Amino acid sequence: MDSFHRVCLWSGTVIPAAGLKKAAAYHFPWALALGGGVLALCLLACLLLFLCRRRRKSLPAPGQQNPHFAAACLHHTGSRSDQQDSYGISDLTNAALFQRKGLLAVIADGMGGLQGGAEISARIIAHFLSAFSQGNQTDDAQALLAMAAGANDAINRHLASSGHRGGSTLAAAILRPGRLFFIAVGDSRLYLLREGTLTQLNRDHTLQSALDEQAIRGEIPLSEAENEPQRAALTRYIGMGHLTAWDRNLRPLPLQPGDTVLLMTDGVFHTLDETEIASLCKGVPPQEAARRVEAAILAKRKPGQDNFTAIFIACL
Amino acid sequence: MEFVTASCCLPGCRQSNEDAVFSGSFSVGFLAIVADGLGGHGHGDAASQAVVQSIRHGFMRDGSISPEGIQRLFEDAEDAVRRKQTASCRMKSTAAILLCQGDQAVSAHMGDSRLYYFRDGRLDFCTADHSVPQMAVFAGEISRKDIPSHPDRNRVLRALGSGEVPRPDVTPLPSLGEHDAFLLCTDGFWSLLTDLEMEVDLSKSVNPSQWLGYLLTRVGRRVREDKINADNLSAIAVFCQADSPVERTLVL
Repeated sequence: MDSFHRVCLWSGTVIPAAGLKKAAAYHFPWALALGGGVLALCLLACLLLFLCRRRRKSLPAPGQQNPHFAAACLHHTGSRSDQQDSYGISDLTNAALFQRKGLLAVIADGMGGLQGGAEISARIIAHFLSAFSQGNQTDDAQALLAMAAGANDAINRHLASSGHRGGSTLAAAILRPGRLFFIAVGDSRLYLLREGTLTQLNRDHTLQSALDEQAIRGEIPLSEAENEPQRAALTRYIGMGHLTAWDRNLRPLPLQPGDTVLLMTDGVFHTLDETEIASLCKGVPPQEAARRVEAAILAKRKPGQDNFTAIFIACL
Repeated sequence: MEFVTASCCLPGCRQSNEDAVFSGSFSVGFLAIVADGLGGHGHGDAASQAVVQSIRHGFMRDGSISPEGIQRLFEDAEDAVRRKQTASCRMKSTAAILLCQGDQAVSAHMGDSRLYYFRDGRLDFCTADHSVPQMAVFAGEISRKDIPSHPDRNRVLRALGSGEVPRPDVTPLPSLGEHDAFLLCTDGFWSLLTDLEMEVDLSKSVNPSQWLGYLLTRVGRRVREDKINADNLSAIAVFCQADSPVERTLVL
């Protein structure tokens, strides 16, 4: 499972501290000198570990490219101690796979205490990558639906057997030259960037979405859509039981050269607004876009910055 | 060809609603119409409702989608609006209409209410507004997507009730296909959406009601986030379906 192995490689890469100071030499008796040396080494080890934990982050994965698409990924813990996002992308350089199945990109933002969220989102990605490379489906809409339903079944069983509570969002897409299918559950997002304008493809499964529709229809006052305390709550997610209504396109969405498809977890768009994201990505290759978006998020120094993950796919 | 519709006619953030909509299938064919009342010191609703009633009754009576038939519909609507006017209240109305007989469709409009036609999921045709910003587009000064933010967006150049012989733009649309769709809407609706958003949400929808729901969610979010004092907003979404007695199974 080569692509799954890549997912593991691309998460949690450690950056070593630059430069180590050598311990100074002191004129003490040799026992004290030995003790002092051991103490110094211990202190150095602690300093090293401290620096590594503080700077623990994931480097952007090496980009992938073929004649039709170029892709890059961004994956960062933010200022959280754990990473509960997961992501995966099929091997663009595997010409036979791409010819037969297209390109799969998938992200998931896990929820649940005690590392539960991380395991759930990782299982979802693993399910997608495995099913994608092994399946014979060439109907992309049906393939995505089957993979999503299968992932949901697997997570429901996992939660039932573990007795834990939890769940995950899901955003996935299959791209072929000139066309896109996607599926989403929860509040992770897919966007299309075209001619400098970012268009969200899926509708968030949040209470806010439902309130926005009710408010414009005049069914509730606008103030309620603005102020409802639970408005960020998810109305649908993987692991909530039987899911029948997915946010997905039934007919292909045409892609043009120059388009960029973006998948991202809410750690990105809760810190940067859509105008900022569009201007950071406009006219630059995916790896540069990933670098810029990461830098912009970190520069905001948002207290409690959530995990953030994004996949950038440029249509060539 | 059969037509499935969903519609909304909403005040937005305004105290009154001066839009009016109607859609329906008759023995003579299918009609959808949106109208946006303007001027007349807040009595634009009398104008838009007069336009809708007049065109509806005229189409039922004459059943014509010929250029002459359509001209007559608009002339009768002009008279209907004039009859509502008083010396101090010269309300007017836009109109965007879709007329279908069999697999033949015709679009006709005056003002800045629009008809969008989607063929195989892609925007194939949209009416050109009779407005100041649209003139700027024709002159190459701005692009069509700049219209919603143009300061003169509300300056409409043709409307029913103006006292002139009506000059609707009439466009026959080629043979309708089974997956064709239409969206008729007033400017309060289209000004808060892009063409791409309409296409994306169309690609996700099994029926026009779902399409309208997706679009209204986008509009509602935009109104909230950008603190927009939303105008009256109205739309009719239409899906074309082949005539078939066989029950269709929808795969969700």
